[in-house]
Amino acid sequence: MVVYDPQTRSELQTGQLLPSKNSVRNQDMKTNADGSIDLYFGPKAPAGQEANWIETAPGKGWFAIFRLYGPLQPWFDKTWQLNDIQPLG
Amino acid sequence: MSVITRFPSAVLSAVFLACSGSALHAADVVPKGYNTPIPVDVLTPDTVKTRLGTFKYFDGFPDDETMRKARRQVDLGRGVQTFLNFMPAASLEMLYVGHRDGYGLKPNRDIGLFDELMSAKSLWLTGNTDTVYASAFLDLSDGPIVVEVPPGTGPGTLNDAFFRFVVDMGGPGPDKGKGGKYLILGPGHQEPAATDGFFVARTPSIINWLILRGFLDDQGQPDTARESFKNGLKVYPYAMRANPQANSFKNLTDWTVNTIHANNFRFYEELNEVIQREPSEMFSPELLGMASAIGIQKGKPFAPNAEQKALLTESVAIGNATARSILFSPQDPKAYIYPAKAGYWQTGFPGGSHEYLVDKGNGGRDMDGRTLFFYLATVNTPAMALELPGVGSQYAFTSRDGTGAYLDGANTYKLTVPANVPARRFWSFVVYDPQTRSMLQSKESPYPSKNNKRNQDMVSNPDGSVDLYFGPKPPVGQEANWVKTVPGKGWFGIFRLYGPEQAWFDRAWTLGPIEQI
Repeated sequence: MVVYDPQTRSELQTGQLLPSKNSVRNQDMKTNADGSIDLYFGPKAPAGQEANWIETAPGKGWFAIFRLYGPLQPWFDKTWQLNDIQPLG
Repeated sequence: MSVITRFPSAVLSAVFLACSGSALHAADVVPKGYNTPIPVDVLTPDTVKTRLGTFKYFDGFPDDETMRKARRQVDLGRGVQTFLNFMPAASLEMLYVGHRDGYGLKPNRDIGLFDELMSAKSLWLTGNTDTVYASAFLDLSDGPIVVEVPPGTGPGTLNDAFFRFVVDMGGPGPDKGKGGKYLILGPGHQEPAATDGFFVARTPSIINWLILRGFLDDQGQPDTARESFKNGLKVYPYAMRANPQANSFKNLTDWTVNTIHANNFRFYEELNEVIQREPSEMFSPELLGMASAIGIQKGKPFAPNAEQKALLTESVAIGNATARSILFSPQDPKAYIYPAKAGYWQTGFPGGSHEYLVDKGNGGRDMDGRTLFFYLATVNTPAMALELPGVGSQYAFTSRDGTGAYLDGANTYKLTVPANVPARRFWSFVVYDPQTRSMLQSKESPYPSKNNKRNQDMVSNPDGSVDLYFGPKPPVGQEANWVKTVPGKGWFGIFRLYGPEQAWFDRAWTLGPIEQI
């Protein structure tokens, strides 16, 4: 999941060099008991969620692209679906 | 967090010099919320003022009102462009519908003939009163079609469903007026192995219009041309060539049938008929994309909702105003025949290319030139656009008098046609209605024109020139040289030269202005 700047449509510039999480590159991400992964977006990491956090910039919007390389059939069938991005307040 | 504190500007400048190409020429400024300089060119401010209102954004995300305004403008524009750029298709479609449903002519079988020439009863874009028209439609749904044209046929042309040139016949065609057999191959048709004795042409569309002209005889009568068509013009399926069906000829002179595309919402419905029927390959994807964006797509119903219909109604009104401006007040100096717009004499082919190509295609297509022609006229052929001394035909039209005022049917005007008109066949002047771009209707004059072969009673001046008069009533003694106009209506005129000679192309012989008297 890569976070982008709506102005430049380039990667969002923050304190993180790479504004993204990647299943191969970020092997320190925490996995839930059912195998799902929670990603967090915001100016600060929720306590204990630093490894699953992508920094965003106050005063700026953002949009995100979820990428699947070597996509499998459940993606096309839509039997595996992404959830909505939920505000935490 | 301030980026400047993290990256002193001296460092930024050094980075810029080291790694930036000419693409990063923007001011050396790091906006709030960024770590690096961002070219101001790529940023969208939170408010942008335009003629549509003020666009509002959050960091480049448009708000609902901004989206609505911008979207509506683009849809409106696509409707306008669809009207202007598909006009040739709707125009040919209405000729097809007029022949099929109005005159009741069956394609590939029935041929319309203007036995006593075309009069002002016919709603045809700038038809003439000077040649015997033979008109028929070819439907290539079921295989190739043969057209046999008789010897002595004048300029004839086959046009596809987008009003594009397919092939000439008769004088300017490969038979050079000697008569011949033409094999017309349609979409997906295989060319037969043996085509000896045929001139072969291929069209990308199913429906095609065949329009042939026959010349008046030396007495200005249509009989010879009419009989020549009846005896020698044949249209039949190639598959039936061993035993072709007989064609039936119908005299269209007294029929009042509309062949003109609409200037209101109905236009899009006319276009939809073409797009539904014809192979999509005959249009460019760019053009089809414009139509599908406003809901016109092959295989899908064209069913705009009330809001879309209102928008397209506005689009076509803007398109129509544009077309009328291009036709009657073109900005392009090439649209005028003489320097400094003298006499406001215009050409229907600015640039001299029947494909409206600018500088042999380097400038793409002259969209306005195409609109000008098809809002005014029908038939697309190089024989009308190219300079072919003695062979084709040439046209000069004007909607203004010498002072630049639009021609008004309440006024009386004079045009002097100088002696020695460089027209091998004939010259004529026909008066048209700016509304219908068809011949001007009046009870007294079914043929609102003068023709040097047909009107041999016209009075010439001692120097050989001929004065033509236009007005509600003839000036005393000028009845034979007078074309009636109608108070309360405008008019425009087309001067035609058939078999134009070099002096026309050299401008050694010129038309003066139409003067109010």
